[in-house]
Amino acid sequence: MHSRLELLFVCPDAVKSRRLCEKAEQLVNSESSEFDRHVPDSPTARLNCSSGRVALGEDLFFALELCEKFRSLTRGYFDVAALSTDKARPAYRLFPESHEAALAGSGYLLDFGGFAKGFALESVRNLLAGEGIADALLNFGNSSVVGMGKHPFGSCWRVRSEEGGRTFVLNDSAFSISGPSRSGKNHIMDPHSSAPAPAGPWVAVSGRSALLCEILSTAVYAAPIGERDRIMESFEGYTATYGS
Amino acid sequence: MDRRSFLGKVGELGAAGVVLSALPVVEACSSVKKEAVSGEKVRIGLIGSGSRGQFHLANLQQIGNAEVVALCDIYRPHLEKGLEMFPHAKPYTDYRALLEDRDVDGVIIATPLSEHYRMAMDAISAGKHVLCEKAMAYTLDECLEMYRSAQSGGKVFFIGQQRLFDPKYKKALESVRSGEYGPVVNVRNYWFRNADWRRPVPSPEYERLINWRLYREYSRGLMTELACHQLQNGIFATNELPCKVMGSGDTIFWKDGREVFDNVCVIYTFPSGVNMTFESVISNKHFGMGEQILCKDGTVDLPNGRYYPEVPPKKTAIRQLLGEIEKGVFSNPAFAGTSWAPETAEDTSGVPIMPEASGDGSMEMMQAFCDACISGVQPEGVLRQAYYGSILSILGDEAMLQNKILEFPEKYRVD
Repeated sequence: MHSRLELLFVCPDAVKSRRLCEKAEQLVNSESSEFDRHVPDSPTARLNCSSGRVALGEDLFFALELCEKFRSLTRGYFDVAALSTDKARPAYRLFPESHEAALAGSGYLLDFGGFAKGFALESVRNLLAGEGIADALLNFGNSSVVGMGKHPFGSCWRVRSEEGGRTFVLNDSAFSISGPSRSGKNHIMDPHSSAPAPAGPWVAVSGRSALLCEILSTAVYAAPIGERDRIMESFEGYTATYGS
Repeated sequence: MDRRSFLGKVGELGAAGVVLSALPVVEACSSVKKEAVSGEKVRIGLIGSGSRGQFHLANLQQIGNAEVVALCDIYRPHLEKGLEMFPHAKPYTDYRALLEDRDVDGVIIATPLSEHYRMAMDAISAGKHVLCEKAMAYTLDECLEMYRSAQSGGKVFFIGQQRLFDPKYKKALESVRSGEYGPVVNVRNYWFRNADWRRPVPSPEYERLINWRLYREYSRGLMTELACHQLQNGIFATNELPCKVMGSGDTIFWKDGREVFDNVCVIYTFPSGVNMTFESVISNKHFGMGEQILCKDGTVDLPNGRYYPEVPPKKTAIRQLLGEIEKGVFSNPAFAGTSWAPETAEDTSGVPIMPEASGDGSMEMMQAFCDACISGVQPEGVLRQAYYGSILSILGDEAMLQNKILEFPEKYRVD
C-alpha cells in the first residue's frame, strides 16, 4: 500500500504481543497483495488487464461490493474507478456465484487508494479485538488512524494534525485525512470530471469505522463544496472537518 | 565488526594498552550506599571563595548533609561573598589555619591551579577529605605525587571533574564502552568562545591575583582550565591512554599581555591508532563547546546527550508516542496529515540518550563528595580518571610549548 502501518497496543504478554504484530503484518501484506494494482499478478492488476471475468479472493470481492455501494451513497464522489477514461457506471460487474468480477469495458482502471488503508485498519482492529486487546492506537501512514479504547494515562487517545494543530479525540473511533500530498501534489481525482479535484485545504472525517472515514474523506475532498454536506448527511455519526 | 569481536579486540590490547578498569568507572560515583550516610552531616571548609568557589557554595546550600563551617580567601571581597552565603562559617585568610580547624571534616579547594598541589598536600597531611578543583596540579610530577598521597592518605579525594557525575555522560559513556555503538574511531573535543577570558580588576595590583588564568606562573590556560574536562571522556571511551601527543598553540587575537595561548589545537593518538583532538579558540564562538565520540555505528554528542546513528532509525509517530507513554505522559502527538512519504533525508535530530537528565554533574559531584566524606569510602576509579585528565592536559600544553611530538611517559602511568 506504499505506506506504513504502526501499532501501539497495551498487552502485558510479550510473546503474545509479538505474535499479534506478526499476524497483523501478515494480514496487511496479504490484503496489500490483493488490492495493489501496481503489484504484477495481483488480482486487481489482473482485473485491470483483463477483458473477461477474473476470479477474486473473498476480501477483494467483498471490497468491490462495498465500493459500488459507497459510490452510490457518496453521490459518485468515492469511486475506485475514478482514474478511468470511461465515465459510464458501474465500472464493473460482480458474479457472486463464482466470486468473479469483470470490468465494464476497456476504458476502466480500478485503484483502491482511498479504500485499502481503511479496509486494512478494520481488519487489524478486528484481529486485536478478537485477541482481547482493548486499548490500541493504529496509524496507517499518518492519514488514517484508529483509537481503540484509551491511552494508558488518559480517557481516550489524542492526535493532532501537523498542519493547523487540530486535535482528534479517539475513543473506539477513527479519523482519516485527505488532501494534497505533503509535496503539494493533488492526487485525488474528481470522478465526474476525470481530472484532479481542485486543490484545497485538507478534509478530515471522524467516526466509528476507519474504512468509512477514509471513503468519506476522499469523497468529500473530491466533491464541490456545495455537495459536501449532502454527502455527509447520509452517514450518521460521522463528522467532516476542514483545514484552513 | 560486531560487538563481540569489538570487545574481544579491546581485550587483545593487553596491559600495555588498556589502562582502566573494565568496569564503568563512573558507576563508582554513585556507589556510596545512601543508608550509610543518612542522618549525618559533613562539615565543609572552602578554600577560595571566588567565582568557582561561590558556585560550589550555591550547590552546598542545597545539599542536606553538608554544613559549610569555614571559608578562606586572601581576597577580601571574595571572602565576604562567601560569608553572605554562609554567615555562620568561620572566616580565614590563611588556608593553613583552616586546615587546623578540627571542626572541618572536608575541604574544597577552588584556588588558582598553581596552588592546588601545595594546598591539597597540606590538606591530606591534616587528615582532611579533599575536593580539589581541576586541573589536579601544574606539573606532571605534582599530579603523580598528589595521586599517590591521596591513595595512601586514607581519606576521600576528589578532583572537580564533574562530567564523571553527569548522568547523561555516564549513560552515554557506558554505552560506548560496552561497544553498543561499535568501536570508537575518533574523539573530537572543542571549546570555542569569543571573549577575552578576563575578570574585572578593581585596581592593577590585583591583575595577576584575579586574572591568574592568563599567566603562566599560575595556569596552563585553555589546556588546564578547559581541555582536562574533555580529555578524560576520551580516555574513558577508548579505555586506553594515548601514546603520542602533538599540538600547536599561539596567541593570535588577545594580545593584551597574557602569557597563555588563546588558540590551541592538540592531537592525542591512542595505541589503537584512534585520534582524539582538542581545539579551543577564544575569538570565535560559532561552534561553542563540543565533545563527540565517533563510533563505527554512530556518533555520541556528550554535552547534548544525543546519539546520531550512522543509519538513522525511521522516526515514527508511534515511536514518539511510546516514549512518552513510558514516561507516563498522556500526550497529544502531532503526526496526522494527508499522506505519508518515505524518509529520504537523514534524520539529523539524533536520539536523546537521557532526556530527563539536566545540569552538568556539578551538583551530583558535590553530593557524591559529601556522601563519601561521611561514609569514608573513596569511590573506585574517580581519582584515577581525573588524574589522567590532568596529565593529558599538561602533556598537551608541553607538546605545544616544546613544539614536539611527545610520547606518553610511562612513569606517569598508574593502575
